[in-house]
Amino acid sequence: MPRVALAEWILSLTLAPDRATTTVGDLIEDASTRGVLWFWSSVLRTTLSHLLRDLGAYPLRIARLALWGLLMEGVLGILHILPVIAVWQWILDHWGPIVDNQTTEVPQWGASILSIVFGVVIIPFLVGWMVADRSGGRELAAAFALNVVGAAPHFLFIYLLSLQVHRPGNIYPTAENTLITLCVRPLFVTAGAVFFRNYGPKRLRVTEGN
Amino acid sequence: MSAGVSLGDFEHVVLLAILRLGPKAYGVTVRAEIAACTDREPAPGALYTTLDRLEEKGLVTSWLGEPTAQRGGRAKRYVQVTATGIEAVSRTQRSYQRLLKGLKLPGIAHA
Repeated sequence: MPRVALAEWILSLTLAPDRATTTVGDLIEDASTRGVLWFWSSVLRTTLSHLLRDLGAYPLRIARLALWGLLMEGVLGILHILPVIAVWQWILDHWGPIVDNQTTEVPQWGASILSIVFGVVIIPFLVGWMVADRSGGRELAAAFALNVVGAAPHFLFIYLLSLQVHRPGNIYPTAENTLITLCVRPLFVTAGAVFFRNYGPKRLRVTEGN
Repeated sequence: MSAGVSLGDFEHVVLLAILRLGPKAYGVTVRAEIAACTDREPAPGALYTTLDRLEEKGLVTSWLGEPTAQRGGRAKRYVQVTATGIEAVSRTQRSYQRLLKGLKLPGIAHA
């Protein structure tokens, strides 16, 4: 039964909860003659179908939302420098000697790590939440569009950063971190949108206008 | 040419299957009916998105049945074609008939 609950949860990412329940019921009924593999492929394909329908139903609205999300990500990406400096200064003030005795070297890698946490985890999560809030009930579609629209600028940003910064000890612009940024960022954008869908204030699903 | 809700091919097929099934129409039976009549089994995702779209257009209504153990305690969502839906099916059928009128297709007697 937990596996069926998981199927219901997956479907509820793009369907209203009551629709997800009845759809899972149908798939369980059909799967009794078709098997588990058919059941899970049907769950995933049905979720994908609804995601594509949401993207196709209001393409302009979703595209505008994705661009707005990208803009917000850029603004927050600039603004996050202030809390990074503040947090790192606080760490140095309180735990500096414990972190590293050579305090001149500490800020470089420490600030980079904080910057990665903000840039790859916290900001994408917040932006995912924000676009979900404005998606009119199409949270996953909005997050998906933001991930697609955001992939190219992020790749370009990381590439340019890697050209500029080649100092030893700077851990950000490496191939591994590029991969992490391109894979982990979409994950947290999606997580923010899913978190909003499950725990955020309920919004009416937009079914007219674009 | 009267204006009204336009139907896609698959929407038309789904509405006809629901009409054929009457009060027994829900996801599983609609899919089985389409497979039996057209020899093509629709993907579940395509069927459920179409049913949702038809409901948004006001061409079908749905209601929940009783939960059953066979479905893990989950209810069936029965569907029924509305008057607007019947009108849309009739209009589409008439369009097809007008298109077929006068055509001589091999193996089709009424054409």
